[in-house]
Amino acid sequence: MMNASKIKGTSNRVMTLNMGPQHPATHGVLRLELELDGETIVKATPIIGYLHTGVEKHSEAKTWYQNIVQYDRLDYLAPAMNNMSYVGAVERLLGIEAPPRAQAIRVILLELTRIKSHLVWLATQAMDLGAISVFLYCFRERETIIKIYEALSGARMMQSWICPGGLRGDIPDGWDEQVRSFLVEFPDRLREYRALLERNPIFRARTRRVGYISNEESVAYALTGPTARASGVRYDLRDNRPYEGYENYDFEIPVRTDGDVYARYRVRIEEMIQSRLIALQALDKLPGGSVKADHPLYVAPPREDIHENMEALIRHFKFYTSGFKVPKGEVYFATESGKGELGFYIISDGGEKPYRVKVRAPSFTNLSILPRIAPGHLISDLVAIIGSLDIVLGEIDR
Amino acid sequence: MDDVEKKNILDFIRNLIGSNLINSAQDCEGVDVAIIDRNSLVDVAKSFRDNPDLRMRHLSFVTAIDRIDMEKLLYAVYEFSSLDDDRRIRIKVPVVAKDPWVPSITSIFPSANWHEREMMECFGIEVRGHPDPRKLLLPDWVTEKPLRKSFPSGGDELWAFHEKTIEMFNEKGDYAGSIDDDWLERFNE
Amino acid sequence: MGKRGDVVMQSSGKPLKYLETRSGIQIPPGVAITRLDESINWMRKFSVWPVSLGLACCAFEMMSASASRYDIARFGSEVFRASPRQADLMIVAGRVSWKMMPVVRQVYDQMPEPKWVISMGACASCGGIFNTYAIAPGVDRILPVDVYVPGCPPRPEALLQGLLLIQEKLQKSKVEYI
Repeated sequence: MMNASKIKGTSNRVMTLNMGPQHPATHGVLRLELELDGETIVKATPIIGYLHTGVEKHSEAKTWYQNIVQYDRLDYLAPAMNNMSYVGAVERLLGIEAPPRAQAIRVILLELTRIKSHLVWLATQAMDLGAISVFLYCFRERETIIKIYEALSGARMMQSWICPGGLRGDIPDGWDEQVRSFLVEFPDRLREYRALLERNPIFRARTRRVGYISNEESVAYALTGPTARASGVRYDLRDNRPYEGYENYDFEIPVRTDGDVYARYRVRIEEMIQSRLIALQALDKLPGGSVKADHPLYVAPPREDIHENMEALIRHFKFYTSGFKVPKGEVYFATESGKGELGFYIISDGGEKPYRVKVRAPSFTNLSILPRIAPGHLISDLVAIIGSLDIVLGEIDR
Repeated sequence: MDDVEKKNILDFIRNLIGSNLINSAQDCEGVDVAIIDRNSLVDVAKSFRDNPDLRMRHLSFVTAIDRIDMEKLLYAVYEFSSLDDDRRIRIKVPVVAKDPWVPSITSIFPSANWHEREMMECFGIEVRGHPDPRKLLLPDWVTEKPLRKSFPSGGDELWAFHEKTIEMFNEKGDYAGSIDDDWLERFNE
Repeated sequence: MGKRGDVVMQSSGKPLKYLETRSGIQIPPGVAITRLDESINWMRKFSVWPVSLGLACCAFEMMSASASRYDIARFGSEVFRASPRQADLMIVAGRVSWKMMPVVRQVYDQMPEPKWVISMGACASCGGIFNTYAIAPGVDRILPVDVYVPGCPPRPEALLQGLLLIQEKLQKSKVEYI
């Protein structure tokens, strides 16, 4: 493992190469300006902003309920996580809590989303390193999870199913069997992927001792998520600041100290195994009751009531047209997304629209360590490193 | 135990900077919010990182709030937390709209680098001492500060902004208008 | 030479018949008569190779369309070329910000003729749910779009239908002879 101080430039010719925003191996529209000495990187500068959407400004123009839909599109691989962070923050501002059944279903949805996000990570990382079959296999798994989402909400990717007070609706019949059958066969599939990759000498040579991030660097650059846990930083928001009943579930947090690409791979694989255990526990202990909190102002009435009850009809109308007013205050609520600490800092001035919404995206902070660890590597190692940081440009650029 | 430790952070800041701690409050979850003067921001950040009792080593984000309409102030917000337990504190630095600058804490917390760049371009708060004050998310030709309340968030004024950009593209002719002229000259030498 | 109705026996035992055109020409079996345009278009439409310009969420439905469940390769789009100079079709999948517009235009300009553009998703067609300062209201501000596929994100089958519409358009288009 080399660092920049060991490079002796025998000639002073450093070449600037642009790995442009349209590139098959940068995960999205990431542009890298590389200064190369031969094939070795001397300096790497990420240039971002090609997917900047202005979500934070747009949030100030839409009501609290309308905003839920656009945050799905930030980290588009794990839409339920973004939902959960925003809705959790709004619930804390409102001072309401979701009922236990809603919390359990939320946990199932979140853990399935975490598995799906890690599967897409595995697919793209393996494809970048040349193992294209793993891409096709992981997308087969992803299709199974997407069918579960579609049975619940009708949408394949952007469900927006979590709303303040609970969920938008209850689970359909047979949904828990569908989830259970996926979770039961998942370990065998995972064993297949691991057998394809971990015993492959090319994969090991391309990922071991590549892209080393030390413990101090990880803390100084505020890395979170599996990237930090592979460098020995034991920080998981499901454990440090539990939410949605995570303190009731029994799971481990995988931490490794190697800090290279292979360690990050192993941490994510083990996280998938633990996510499956959490989802099974939540499924087994699924409590009964309703999925919406009984709060007249902040939660829409159940659909059956609006056919019978005039008050429910008026509530439904007012809720979906003018929305609700959130009391004055501010909150920062962060959850453990598949990529790290995903937080929403929301300020309300008592109106129907937020005053300020700041999205703390984990990939934004995780990518900022790239200029520090890239020098000394070859370009093909850089591709492995970017894959292991697991970035999503939607949440970096917001 | 938690109350004692939380009081400790505010007390610690009060002991450190004295009257530069302008105010303190709590947010809706009970997390402390300390409003401090910008000249003591660097000292507070250093003690958060180095003091062995505090150990608030994790900087979650740096952002800003636009309160120019109400208080003629912008606030720069810093969220610190501890990695070992669940202690948190939020620091707000009020900045006058006519002279908006804050010192940079990138040398103490390297994770603030990109957050401060984004704050600079979106809000117009100059971060003094930043090693790389270029634009991060916005394209190079944008001069307005979009996240200020004075920038339109919809309607006809926003459409005028789009029309201006389309006109600029049409005038430039070649759409890849970001090629530097110096670079072309060097290439042709 | 035979006449219409004559039957020729193949060695496998299956009979083939002579056909007749309107003007009376007898066509022996195994021969097809068509215009050059139609045959060139028929060959082109079954090997339309897209360039990978997946920008945001729609890119993942595009990747699902190219994965094994909704296989796009059975319609001829076997590979997604990384280089625009080797591609025929540009699928703009995702929201296009103003910073990205010159890049999209440059990728389009680098593609050789004949080329087509599918605007996939609501954001590429009209700006989608984002009415903000940074997102362009539709990629057709600077590119000529052939097919718009609505959805947020559109299902992979919707993208495949968009591809079939491109193939229909291709079949009817005029071929340029240099």
